[in-house]
Amino acid sequence: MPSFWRKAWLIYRKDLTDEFRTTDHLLSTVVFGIMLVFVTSFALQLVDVSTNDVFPAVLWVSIFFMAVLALQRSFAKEVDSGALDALLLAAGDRSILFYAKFLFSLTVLLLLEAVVVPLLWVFISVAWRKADVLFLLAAIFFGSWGLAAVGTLLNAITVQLAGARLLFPILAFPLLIPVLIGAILCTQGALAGDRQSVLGWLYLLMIFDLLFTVIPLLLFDYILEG
Amino acid sequence: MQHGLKSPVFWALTLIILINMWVIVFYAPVEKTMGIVQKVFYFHVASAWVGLLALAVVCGASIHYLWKRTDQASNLALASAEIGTVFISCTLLTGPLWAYPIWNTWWTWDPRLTTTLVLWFMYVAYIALHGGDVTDTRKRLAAVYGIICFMNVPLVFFSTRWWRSIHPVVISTEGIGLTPKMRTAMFLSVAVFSLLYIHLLRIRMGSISLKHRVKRLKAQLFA
Amino acid sequence: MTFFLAGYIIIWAAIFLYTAAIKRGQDKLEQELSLLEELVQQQSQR
Repeated sequence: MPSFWRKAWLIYRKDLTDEFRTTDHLLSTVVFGIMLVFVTSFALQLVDVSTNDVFPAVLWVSIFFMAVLALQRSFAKEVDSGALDALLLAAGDRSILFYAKFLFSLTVLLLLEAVVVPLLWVFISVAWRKADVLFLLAAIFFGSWGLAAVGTLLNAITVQLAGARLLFPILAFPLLIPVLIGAILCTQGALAGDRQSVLGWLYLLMIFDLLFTVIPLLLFDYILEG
Repeated sequence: MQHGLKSPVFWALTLIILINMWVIVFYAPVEKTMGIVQKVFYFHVASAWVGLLALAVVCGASIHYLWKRTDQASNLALASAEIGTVFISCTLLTGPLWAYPIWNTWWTWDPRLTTTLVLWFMYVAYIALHGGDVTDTRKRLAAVYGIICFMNVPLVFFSTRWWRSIHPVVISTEGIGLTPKMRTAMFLSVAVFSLLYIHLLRIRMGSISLKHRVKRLKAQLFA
Repeated sequence: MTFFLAGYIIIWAAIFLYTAAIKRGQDKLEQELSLLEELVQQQSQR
């Protein structure tokens, strides 16, 4: 299916161009992320906890909140500008649209994390002597993959409910629990340089990612129907 | 369908519930170390069972809805989700009442506890998505969400299980860690709660379809 | 004993409250329905 991926790629490119043309949304999400990281690490400093231990939890809670902002964008912007129908016609197959939007969400999320994670790393002053950076990056990558897949799927649902977009985080939270557990424990293992435990959690994340990347092939048609 | 005090089903159900209570209080033996608190277990397990069963029904009805598009299937899914929420809430509330005297804490992050809590969140999210308004869009989207939720349960359970477990495993592959009388009481409770679930389901489906009828009539009148 | 009683009271209270809520909603709907049916009849007579 060369044309399947080609179409997905074109829509993905369009989305990126569009996103960087008006940087309003991207910029406010980054700033929100930075503030979140600042507030949490500052709050933790005040009560004087061992910040190294809480790094994984703080990291993923921050990413979760940032993702709630970032992931609501993919379909909402098409609906707001009245372009969804045209896009559906252009794509033909609806799942093309899902994969394009998923890739877009994942890219945006990774870009945001590229700013926020190093910042948190500095603020919290992680002891990184034993840390396994490769596995840390893998944890962030596969965790974000799961977030982006679920977020894209649910965003396609919530944009169709006028006035009920606030439902997005409520719908997303229970589905994302396995990602939260997997990603936090994976990060913890990577910080301690404990490869054995990291691998198990990476597999969990991968299973989750795979599931939520394949489910849309079956269900996405029903979501965007009509 | 008759409902309320006139229905024979209601009285039959009341009778078996009373029998069930009698069995739990007088027939089932008092557990040696835990004492009488252990008897919370019978209804705790029964309502947890119904809570999970109800989600399976939500998933099945949702698949049926996406396939055949009948209002019945959609109503069944919503009714089942609501009743599931009631029973899961019961599980979540009775659990700590047993855990506090035995574990000396109200709550722990055990796989079963965590999964049950996540189940509760899923139900609430599902009802928020489905329950608000009667439109075909909502029915369709809720159906998709219901299916996804059910598929997510094993993932939640196993991810928390790998993480930690202190919950007593009463039914395992090696058999049941209960005396025969306790077992009778437990299975009776599960059966009674399943019947109760079915009865509530029928009542609730009736009232949901009534709601649809009212809405249709209004549309017809004020069109 | 206290915990045992509390557990059972909670369960029956929850189920009772739920059925009571259904009953209330149903009564309201039935009232509305009869009103609407009357209106439909009036409309068709005109």
